[in-house]
Parts: sequence; structure tokens; C-alpha cells
Amino acid sequence: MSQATHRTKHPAIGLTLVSLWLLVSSLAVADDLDSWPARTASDAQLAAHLGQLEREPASPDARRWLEQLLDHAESTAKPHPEGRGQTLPRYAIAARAQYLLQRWDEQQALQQLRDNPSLRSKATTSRAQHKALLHWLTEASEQQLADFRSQADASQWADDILTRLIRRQNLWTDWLALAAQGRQARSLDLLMQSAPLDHPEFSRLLDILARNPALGGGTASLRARWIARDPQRIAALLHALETQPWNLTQIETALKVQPAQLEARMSEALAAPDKAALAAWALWQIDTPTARTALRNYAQSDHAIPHLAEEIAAWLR
Amino acid sequence: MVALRWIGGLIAWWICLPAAAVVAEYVDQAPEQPNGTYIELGIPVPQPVTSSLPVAGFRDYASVLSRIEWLALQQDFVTRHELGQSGDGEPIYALQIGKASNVPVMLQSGGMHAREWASPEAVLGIAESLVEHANDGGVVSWLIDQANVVLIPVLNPDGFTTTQRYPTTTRIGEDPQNSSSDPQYPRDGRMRRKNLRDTDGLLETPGDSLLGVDLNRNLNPNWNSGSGSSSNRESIIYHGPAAESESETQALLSASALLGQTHLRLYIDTHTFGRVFFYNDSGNSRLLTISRDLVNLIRQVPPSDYAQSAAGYGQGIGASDEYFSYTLKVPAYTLELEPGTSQLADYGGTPNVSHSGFILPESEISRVREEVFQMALLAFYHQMGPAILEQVVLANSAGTPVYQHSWQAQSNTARAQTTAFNQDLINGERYTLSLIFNKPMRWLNDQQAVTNYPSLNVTLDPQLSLVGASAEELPAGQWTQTRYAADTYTVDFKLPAGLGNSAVLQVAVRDMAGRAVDSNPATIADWNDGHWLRFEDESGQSGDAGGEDRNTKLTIVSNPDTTPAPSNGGGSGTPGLWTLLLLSALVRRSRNLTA
Repeated sequence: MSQATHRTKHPAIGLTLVSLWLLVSSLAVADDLDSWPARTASDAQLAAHLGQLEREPASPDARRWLEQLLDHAESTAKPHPEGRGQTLPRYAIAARAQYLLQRWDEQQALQQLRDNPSLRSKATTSRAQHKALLHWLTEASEQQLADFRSQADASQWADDILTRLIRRQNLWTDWLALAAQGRQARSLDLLMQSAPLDHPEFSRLLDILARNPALGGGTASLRARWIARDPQRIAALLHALETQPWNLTQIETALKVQPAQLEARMSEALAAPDKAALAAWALWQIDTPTARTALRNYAQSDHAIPHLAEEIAAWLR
Repeated sequence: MVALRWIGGLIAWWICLPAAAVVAEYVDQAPEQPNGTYIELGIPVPQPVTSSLPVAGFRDYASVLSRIEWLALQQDFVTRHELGQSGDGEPIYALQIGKASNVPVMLQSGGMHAREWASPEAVLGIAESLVEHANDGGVVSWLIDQANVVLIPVLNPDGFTTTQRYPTTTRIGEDPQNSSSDPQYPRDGRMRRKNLRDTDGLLETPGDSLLGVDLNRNLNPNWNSGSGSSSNRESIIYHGPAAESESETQALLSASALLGQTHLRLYIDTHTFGRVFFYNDSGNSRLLTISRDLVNLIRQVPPSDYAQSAAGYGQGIGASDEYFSYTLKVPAYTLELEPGTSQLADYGGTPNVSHSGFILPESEISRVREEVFQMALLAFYHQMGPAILEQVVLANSAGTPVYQHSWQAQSNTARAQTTAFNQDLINGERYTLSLIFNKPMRWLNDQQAVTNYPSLNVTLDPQLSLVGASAEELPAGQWTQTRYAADTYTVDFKLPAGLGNSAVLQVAVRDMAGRAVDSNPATIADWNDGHWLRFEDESGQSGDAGGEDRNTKLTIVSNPDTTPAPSNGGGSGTPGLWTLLLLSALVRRSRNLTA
């Protein structure tokens, strides 16, 4: 996917000089910063010391230094320092310090999860534990996963935990949970790419997904994929269009399935006042010369709903 | 020492060299063994979603268009307008919510900067929420009846579709101005900001990545003002070859004139990121005060406040909010949505990642849509103008009106007061007072209970006093509905003794946004030249704050045994008619009882 297109080649001596400079700089500031608060230290000096800590394992002294740095940053913060003229923000040293503390917290939390199984089922309460749990889920044995499932409350699992479990074990119950509990559209994408469309209860999953307030609006594509695999389901879709009230998701589904005669059915439906708006919308999406002719004829007819006629006429102009 | 300086200078020169052009991938977590250039965000990287209905993510451009089309067909009060075309010929659409003519217009745009994906979602979300709540019988119903809201979800479709074509890919390290301060400076693909002037929207050549016009530096009156924009075509803030040179800019200007510029009351341009409202001192002190008061009102609506910042007079950069405040003289804002300047660290993502604030996590967008709608609705409500006490009805314990006045428009600038009944009130008698306002005065929660608008703290009950020989406060009543929910306040009270032969009803009330009423409904308030016209306080002074209503003057009979004569009891009523109405009501009641 990625490609590097190096435009400029720097002489090796450049890298050497930079390394030398960073080394000298970090040594030079070490004395100042070891005796925090180093309020007189420049941003460059602070950044250099941070860079040094980023290459080292966590230690109580380093943690204390970072926490003092964060306290200092908070006490000297100004409201919205990025003036309008400065289009894009620069990135605070405090953010790096915060991140380093988080990374150490995550490493510590992962080790605790490895050492203490009872913590695993409760590991969604903090960001560090949550991230550590995600990591642990990728390395856990099947037996450890089974133990984890037996102890945890699956209804509390977020998208990313369910996604990890699906990738590890691909269980139907996890797919159902993702449909019910997913809170990010990327879960829709995972469902579209990998959900077991041939599972006998897949229509139940679709119904659960449709009721999910975060993802339900995006059901049409997945439902269409499932329907398109079976002529009986296509027939059922057409029957539903004949017999049931319409809604946007249903028509969007039909547009993606593209059953035979859909365009003709939508053209006919223009005559029904309760279906005309959705039929017009569908014909506009189909966007063939025939569909446009149907819309034009409708807009010019006596039975057209005035608002629809105005809107369609404006679009066709 | 000299040698050290020489070495330092050499290092600085090396750092300032143009960095290599690299195509990088945005990822949640970089792989252990990287085989390319990765930018680790620490959150799942959003991809465009195909869905006409809103979801917890960012819809692809085709879905946005189909949603606009459906909203326009679905409701007779929604109209789609083609404002113009982009540089590549893509139509630029606006949605008009509302059908009335010659009413206030509120304009909100989005998608000016391509990479700011939360913006089109937020602006389209306003349209979706207005349609969803159109039948609330309260604020939204009233707004749709009495105003036109014009929404432009995507002003820069060429740039927006470029970012959606490369949802996880960017070119970094090429910026001639910024690469030394930010070596990971991203410019194209997911991080395109500008339109596509002189570029093809592909990631093939570095030159293409740098070109395009920053539409938010392309407007009069501060175009090319020398600060905050650049004449360098490769700059991220290139202002374009001439003021308002870009077709997208022309589309925005068309939107301002779509329903008549004289009706325009508000402009908001929706961007990311920073959690801040920017606005301007355009040299109009009353407009500046109104703009500041309004932003201080709406920025506190979300649970976590937005900041605000006003640029000084003449310090413009060619941005769209400047055009609307300097030229059209309406409150105008650049609204920078989430995240704040901590960027993705706000959501547990990786801090210290260049420009990551433009990539809002999918899990946040539903909440952001709702918060932006709440802020916009309050701003629209406020800019509709002040409330008036349109009608006052006082009925006795039998339900018979003894006093009624109402205001009716006679022209665009004046109303006349009509008094239907004006009988003497009797000391010690019980009355029901109904105050009917010309707009919903309170917000209703999901349980349809009267409450404050989110995060506001307006005293819910008006302060009502009868002032004659003495001053007596009336008890609290309740908000009810005449035309719209909570547009009427009804209170039962016993007329106290000691007021003398006459009294004035003093109504101290603030509307849902916390603004006092127009004390003189005889003159119709309007917006002109950056301030309110004919918006008086109780002393008759016109300004932007309003005051109390003191237009209800009552006469009182001091002897409680005296009953006004039916024919001429001191009022101008028609008791015969009321006798008929009373009889009619009794007959209807008796029918109901026997049904």
C-alpha cells in the first residue's frame, strides 16, 4: 500500500551531526531537569529529556518527573493558545509526557492481566486496562479465552473487544453481540466484510442490527448482500414492497439488490400518494433515461403531489 | 563558542531542507515490523460509510447527496437548491428548511475544508434533526413556520471526495513553509484542506499535493490583507488569485442572497478542530456586543463548553465569517468543532500526532451531531428576534373574560392594540390570567415537561406584579399552549385589596434564550445594520436588551359587593354574546355527559 518516494538524500554526516547534537543536548539539560521544577528549561530542553525517557523503561523517578512536568504545564496553561492566525496547532510537550505515562500504565496493566486472571473480566474500567486487555486477547490461549468468557459480562463489551474475539474465534454469539452493541461504523464494515451470511439465523442478526441506534441506519447494504444470495429472499423483498408500507431503509435495500422490474415498480408507485416520495427518490438514484422520463411525466401530471412536482421539476431542469 | 554556533547553524539548515515526500498510512497501531510509513493514531481510523441514514460514522459523499435528496422529497417544507458548481463541475447544494416568505434567514455552511469530516455530518445533522422534530409543536415547529434555515453540508465537494478516496492515506513532509516546524506535515489525500484548483486530486505528484485554494481565505473584505493568508500557491493558506475567485466561494455568496440578504440574521461556518467559536470586531460595536452575548449563550450548551475568540477590527484573514459580519452585518462565526487542541488524546488516542484532530473517532460523531444541533437551534431561536406579549386575557371565576387585549400587525413596522373587553375587576374575586406570547418561551424535555434549554438557567416562571396604590406579586402559574408549546403562561389569583381603582400588570419574563421581551409591541422589532430596531425597554428606549411588558391597564372596583352592570359595566364587552357562549358551553357539556 505505502510507498516511500525519497526526494532528497542527505549526506551521512548530517545524521551523525544530529545524533551528536541530541546526545550533547540531553546531557546538557540533565542536570537542570533532575532537580525539577526546571521552570527555566526551554521547550527544546524539555523535549530532549522526554526523548531520553521515551527510550528507557519506566522508573519511579521518571514517573515523578513526568507528573511534575504535567503539573507545571497545567499551572501555566493559557486558554486556547492557538491563535487564529496560526492555522494549525503545534503539539504540546505535555501531550508527549501524558502519552508516555499512558504507555507505561498499559505495559504495567498488561503484565497484571498476564499474572492475575481475575483482573481480566474487569479490565474495561480504565483506558490503560482496556488497551492492555485488547493486547492480551491477541495472545491468550483458547482455554484462557474460555475462562475469560465465563467470568466477564459480555453485554458490556465494546466494539474493539468483540472485534478481537471475532478475529480469534469467529463465534456466532459474538457477531450477534456486535450487531447489538456496536457503537462505531467500522463494525458495520466488519459485518459487511466477514459476517457469516449463510448462518441460519442471519435474519435475526439483521433485525438486531436494525434496532441498534448507533448502526441501525446502515443496515441496508448488509441486508441487501444477504437477500441477493437467495432468489426466495428476493421474492420476499418484492412481496414486502407490494404489501407493506415503505420506508427509506427498505427502498435503499431494494436499490442495492436491484431485483428485476424494480424501475417499473417504482414508476408505477408514483401514482400512490403514500409511496410517491420514496418512489421518486428511488428513480432519482436509478438515474436512467427511463427513470427520468417517469419522473418528468409524473411532475407534469395532474395527480402529482405539488411539493414533489416542484422539487422534481427543479432537479430535472 | 563560534564553532558551536556554526554547528548549530548547520543543523538548523539541515532541518529546514525540504523533507522527503512520503505517502503514509494512518493506522490504529503500527505493526511490529513496519514495511512502510505509518502514523499511529491510537484509535480506529474512520472509513466513509454507505448509508443514507445517520450512523455512528462518516457517510460517503454519495450517501450525503442521497440523504439531501430524500429530505427534500420527504417534506414539503424542505427544498434543495443548487447554489453553483465546484471547480470540477460538481453541484454544490443547499437545503432550505422552511417555506415562508420574507422571514428571517439563518445560514450555516460545512465542508469548506475537505478533511474536516465532522463538519458535513454536523450540518446535515441539523437538517435531519429539524425534520425529525418538525412536529414537536414547540420551538422547532415554530422555527419552521416562521423562519428559513439554509444549510450547506458540503461547500468543497472536490476536496471532500478526494479525502474520502484516500481515507487512511496522506502525503507528508512536503510543505515549504511548515516542514521545519512540523516534519510530519500532511497535505493531501485524507489531509487535503483546499479545493482542487490546478490539481487532479490524485496522490501522484508532490506539486499536486501542494496546490489548491484555501476557500476560507478567499473572501472580501479582508482578502490578501497580509496576515493569516498567503500568496504562495503551495501554501496551505493560499488565498487564491483574486478575491472571491473560486466557484465554491461564489456558491456561498449565492446562498447568502438565496432568500434575500436583508432577511439574513446569522451565519455559522462549521469547521474542525479546536472547540472554539471565532468571530470578529467588524467596527460595529452593537453587532460585536450581540455577537459576543450570543456566542456566550450557545457555547455553554454542550456539557463541555466551547471557547470563544474575537479578532480585532481590521485583523481579518479573508475568512467567510468576516464577509458576513463586515459586509452583511450579522453575527457570524467560524465554529471549530471537536476535538480540542489536545486532539485525539481527548478520546484516548495517541497524543503528539500531527493533525490528528481532523480525524474524529467514529464513536464521537453522533454526540457531536446532537450538540451542534442544540447549539444551532438556540442560535436560530435567539436571532429570530425578541418575544412580545401578544395577547392578555383575564377571565373571572366563571370563565368569563373581563379583560382582553391583543396586538395585530398593521404594516411591517407597526402593530395596533385591540381591546375586546375591559370590565372593572373586583377586589377579593378570583381570576385566571393568560399571557400569550408570539413564540414558544420554554423548552420541553422528552417527557414534555417545561424545562430550561440544555445548560441554560432561565427563571422558568415570569415575575408578575399588579402595581396600583400598592404593588402586589401574583403567584406562580404554568406554561401552556395556544399555538405552540409553552407560548402561554396561565396563572390563577385572587385580586388583592389595596391596589386602589386601577393597576398596571408588570410582566418581567425572559424567553428560552434568556432575553427580555420587547416592551413596546406597537413597533415591530427587526434586524438592521448589525443591531435590533424598534426593540424597546419599558422606558421606551430602543436597544438590544428589551424590558418588561406594562401594557395591561386594569380598572378595579373597590367594593366587593358591587357587580358591574351587564350592559355597560365600565367595559366595552358584549355580555349578551358571552351569555350565549356560556349557554352553548353548558349545552355541549350536557351532551358530553349523556354521550
